[in-house]
Amino acid sequence: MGVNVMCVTSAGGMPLFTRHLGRAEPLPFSVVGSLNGVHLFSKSHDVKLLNTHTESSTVLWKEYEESVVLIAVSALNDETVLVQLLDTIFAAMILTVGIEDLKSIKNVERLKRELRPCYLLVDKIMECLDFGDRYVGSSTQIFNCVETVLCAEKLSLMVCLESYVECICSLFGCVTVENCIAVATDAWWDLDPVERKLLSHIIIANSNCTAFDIPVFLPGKSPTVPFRLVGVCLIIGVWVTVLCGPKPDLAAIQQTAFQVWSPLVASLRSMLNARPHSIPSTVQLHSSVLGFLLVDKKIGKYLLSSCSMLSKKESRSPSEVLKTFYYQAAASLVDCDKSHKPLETYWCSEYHKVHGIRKGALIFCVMYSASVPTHTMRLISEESLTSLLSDSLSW
Amino acid sequence: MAILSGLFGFVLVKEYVLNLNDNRWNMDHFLPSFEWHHTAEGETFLQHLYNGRTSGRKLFGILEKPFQSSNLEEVCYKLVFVGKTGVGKTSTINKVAGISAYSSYFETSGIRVTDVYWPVKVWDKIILFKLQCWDAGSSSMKKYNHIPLSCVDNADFFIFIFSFNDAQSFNELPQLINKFVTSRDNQPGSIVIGTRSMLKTEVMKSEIKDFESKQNIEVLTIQNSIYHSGPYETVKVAPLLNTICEKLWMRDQQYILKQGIKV
Repeated sequence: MGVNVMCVTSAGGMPLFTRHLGRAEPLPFSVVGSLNGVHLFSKSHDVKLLNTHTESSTVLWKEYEESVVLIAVSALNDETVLVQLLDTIFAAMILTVGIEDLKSIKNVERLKRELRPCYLLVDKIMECLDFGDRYVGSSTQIFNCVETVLCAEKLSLMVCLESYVECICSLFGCVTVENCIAVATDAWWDLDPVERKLLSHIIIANSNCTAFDIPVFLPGKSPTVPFRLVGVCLIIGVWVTVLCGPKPDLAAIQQTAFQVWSPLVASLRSMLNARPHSIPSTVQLHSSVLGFLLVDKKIGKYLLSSCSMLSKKESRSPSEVLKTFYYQAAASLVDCDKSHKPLETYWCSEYHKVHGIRKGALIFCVMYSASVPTHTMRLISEESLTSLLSDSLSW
Repeated sequence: MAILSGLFGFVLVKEYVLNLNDNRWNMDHFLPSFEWHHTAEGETFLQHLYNGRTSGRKLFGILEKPFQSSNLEEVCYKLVFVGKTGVGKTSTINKVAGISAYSSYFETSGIRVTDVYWPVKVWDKIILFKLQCWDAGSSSMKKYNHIPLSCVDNADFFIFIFSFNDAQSFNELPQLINKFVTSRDNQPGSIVIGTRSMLKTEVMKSEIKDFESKQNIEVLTIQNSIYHSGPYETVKVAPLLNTICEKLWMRDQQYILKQGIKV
């Protein structure tokens, strides 16, 4: 199953780009034209066209800044997720070219060219969707939440990061281990969740080189003036990334990174062992727990841990199952109407069980082996959550 | 960077000059050996660069070195890749670095730097070349002033890329070369690489010959579409990397000799 996303100008219906992911054929030009035509027709009659459903898919339209229209066609994903998808894609467009160029389009061909660098970002955003299909990338990224990792070296890293960002005259900095945030400055956590997620996508997309320096507009904080996102690979798998102004240049930042981080090589190396468990070895969970997903929707971060022990019959990894469970069942524990507030939900299948509970803005999903009695899941989940949220770990 | 590498080179040349007094001086001694990578010694060195898990070559962060224990001499250079949008600058760097990349095309945004380590035997010494490959997306290059400045600053070598499948990218080369290569003292070295992704070619061999003699610049070719994994990969890119290292090495030697004469 897959998704198609198109972007056209509001004024002339000129296509700016189309992207597709998964087992979806790219839509022919005539279909894109008709989809835009329907939207244009309703607009001329003062009717706002939101969405439509066919037997197999959902179609969604959304106009931004009265200047561009984004259209999504997807199977399996409902409207709320698709609205988030389009909002995030528009944010990625702002991040690439700035809001001014999108508000008043002077030259369509030029804008098209300038939007090209955001394709990779758009693809990464689409990978956050759940396709219920393991052939569509094994990405376990979740919408507008950044993946984090809990590590024992947090304090020493934080001290080092603070002095590093100070040397670069910035406030925003983070250290990532295999693309998961290990520590980040307060200012980094003050960014909008969408902004933070987009920056994470850029870091992930560029992890196959050794340093990068990319101009970015921040969709919420600074949509008209670009910042620079500068990442330096310390050791393979561990990156330090900052948001900064025009100075200092990349070579100077690389030199600073070398000076500041050299004393910490040993702890950086030990951090690499933290994956894929993503929690320090001091935290012991019940033996029936195969993996868990802890999501903080308010801040926009999550922690995903999976054990390597798996039965051979199980073809999907715990992280993939947890992602599907989160989207299909658990995410709605937070976004439902006020009259009815469910706290728990669970699935039982032949090979495993999954249990989800809500605590405030937190959603905790745990995957168990099938042998665990259904009624004990609640107890183990609550115990595990308490030990994960203990002060000493400061997640 | 140039100063640093200059210093390294200076130490080496001093040794050579000492030897020069005793022996017959032979320019060949100064050149990197092209066959060394096929010898047993060369192959063991290259083994260190491989990643066992992916069977591609490893990258190294700024706090890492490929040969931690040995005290190999290291020289560091800044290489800048320039060329029309879409000709394959990033894929050429990935090829040179020996890493697999996205199968479809994505335009680079901002600057990306990839450090490539390449051991070379010069005379009786093994020297580790650290080539910092700078790659900037063409649209960011035009839109932001700081990006070209940051790329050109302290550059040691320019690599101009064109595509055999895009005649315009070849025709634009002289203009591009004039823009980046100036005739000041100790100017950065340069080379041209032609990339090929389809069989059909828009640039003829005779055109390349003409261009080489007119511009006095060497043209090499590279096939980016096929990704070789395992040791075979280095056999493919070794000639290219050796040529680049040789040119960098020669440039340093000439610079030091000149400085020596001045002193």
